[in-house]
Amino acid sequence: MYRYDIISGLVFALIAIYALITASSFPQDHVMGIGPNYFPTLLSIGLLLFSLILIGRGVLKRSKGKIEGFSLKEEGTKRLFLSVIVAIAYTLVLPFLGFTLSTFFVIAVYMKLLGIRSVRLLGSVPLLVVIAVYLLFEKFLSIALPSGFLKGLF
Amino acid sequence: MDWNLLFTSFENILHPSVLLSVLAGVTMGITIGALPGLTATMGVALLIPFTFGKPVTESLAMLLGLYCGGMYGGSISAILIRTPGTPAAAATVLEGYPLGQQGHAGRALSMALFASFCGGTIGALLMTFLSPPISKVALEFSYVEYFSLAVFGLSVIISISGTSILKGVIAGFFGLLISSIGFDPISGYPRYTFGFVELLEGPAFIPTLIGLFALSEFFSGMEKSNGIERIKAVVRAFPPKEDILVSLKNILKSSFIGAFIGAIPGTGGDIAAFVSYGEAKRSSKYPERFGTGVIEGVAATEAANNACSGGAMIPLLSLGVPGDSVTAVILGAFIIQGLQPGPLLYKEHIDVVYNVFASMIVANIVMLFVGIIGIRFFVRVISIDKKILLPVIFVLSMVGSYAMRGNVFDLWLSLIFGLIGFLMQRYGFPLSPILLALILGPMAESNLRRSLVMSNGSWKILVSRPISVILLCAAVLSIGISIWNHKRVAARTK
Repeated sequence: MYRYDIISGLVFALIAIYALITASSFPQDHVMGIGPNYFPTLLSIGLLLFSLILIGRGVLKRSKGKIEGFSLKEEGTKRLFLSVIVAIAYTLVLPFLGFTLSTFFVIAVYMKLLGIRSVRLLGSVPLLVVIAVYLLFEKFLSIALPSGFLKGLF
Repeated sequence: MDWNLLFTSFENILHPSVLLSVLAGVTMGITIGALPGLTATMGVALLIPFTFGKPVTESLAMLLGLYCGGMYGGSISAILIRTPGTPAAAATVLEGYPLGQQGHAGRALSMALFASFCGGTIGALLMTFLSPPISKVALEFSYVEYFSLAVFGLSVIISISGTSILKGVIAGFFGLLISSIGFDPISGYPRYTFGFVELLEGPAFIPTLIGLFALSEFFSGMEKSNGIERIKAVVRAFPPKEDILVSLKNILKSSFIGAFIGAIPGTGGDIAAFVSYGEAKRSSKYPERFGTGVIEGVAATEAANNACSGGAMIPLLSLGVPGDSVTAVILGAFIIQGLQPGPLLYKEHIDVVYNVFASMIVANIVMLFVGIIGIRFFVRVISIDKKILLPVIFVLSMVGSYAMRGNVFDLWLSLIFGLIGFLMQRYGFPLSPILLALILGPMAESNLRRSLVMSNGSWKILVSRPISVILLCAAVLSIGISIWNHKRVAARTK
């Protein structure tokens, strides 16, 4: 646990230092003494202070609770990394492939990742979800979803 | 109070065509509220064009029905799939989702419905009988009081920090730092935008909310999923008697808190729900159980956010100032119908004012009936195999993030916050403080700076007004009690 507290404390401390350095370049209000840099500076100092306390507790091994790290040997971790990659790929291709096609594939891929082997399910569930979401958002609520290269077909 | 007029208004609203409009509004509201990314504000805005040609009573009754339904609908997805359908339901996730995961989804949903009905009705009654005095107090709020209210709201972070106050505070500061992204509220100087035009107004709230709660849960589910996972949930249309008894005090208290916060222009159901949750936890005999699925938590948050709708109508009707974003859109509907809310409305169209009172009360009753029927269907969601449910949650989250602004950037935003939320949660950091900070951060900063402009830079202004002093004292008290509670619990578990 203490190792993870040190690491997470370090990450937040680095974010705070970055925010502090960036805030120093914001203009200052010399009349009121409190300008655009005031709040971010105050917050960065607060974040830095508490992150250092967290690191300190980790170093002194006073952290509480139990956390398990990631292990690439585990099936769950592999599935997690793959699901992140699929989510990024989905976001990348959505504007080009359009909602219907990309969503159909992403559901099928996730179902497969989760262990569904039935071709009938892999075909029918994504199709039903795509139709339901499309009808609800596009037709019922008139909210345009990305149509990609299929623009004009629906 | 003109009782004759009030009875005539009920007669008007109970006319079949108006009642049907209320029913349609409530059903649409529940559906839109339950869908991630679609808020009651959006629902009302979408419905306005359909109400143009309708008579005033029917049109307003339908919109108010949607408002009430939308406020309740947000709790459904919050309880079932950890995705607050609306920002106002974000606090419902804290207790509602754990209850759902323990197989008590029916219990949580029925309590959410019951508390929403009670809160909504109390809010509507307060609106009916106490509009003028509440408006008067709400109007006393200047920048100073708004800042103090934000500080009071932020003090809740300590009580929603879970097992580690330190990590909760870090999450809160991180959230406040994120809330400072975008234009500076006074000078308009862009901060931390990394060159993205889309970040000039700060990270869009809905995609951030969806990312933090829904996508983080999706990634967590993908990591943990093993074999067929179905959660059995008992269908329950009405909460058990013992749940009602144990939650009644919180429902009443939260309804008043919700209605009052709703009456303050610029606030909303999200703030009311968090403040009420903090109060429910503070006054509980077993605060240590909060976060693991405590029914009073669901009751408090849902009563508060629904009471907020009645409260938000108070300044709209009596002063012409909308209490929240939904009433701002409803103000537009009034104007479209040739009505100008404010003191003149009471003089020239008092019948419309009474129709609004009656509509809100009837809408809450209709919501109760629609909800009772709906629970049977909603609760089935949780018993769907996770192998199918998880991909559907992912798609709904992404569509919800996109729907608000039709912008692909929001999908990236949601994804990034999903990963941040997942990692933070995995390493023991609570997510709710980030959300609370995102809601209250801009309010705190802009109002503090405006207050200091008013006082020529003197901080004494913060303690120069009685309401502000009361709120700041309440914040200090809330922090003190939360820390004391935390220490007491830690000592008990040792």
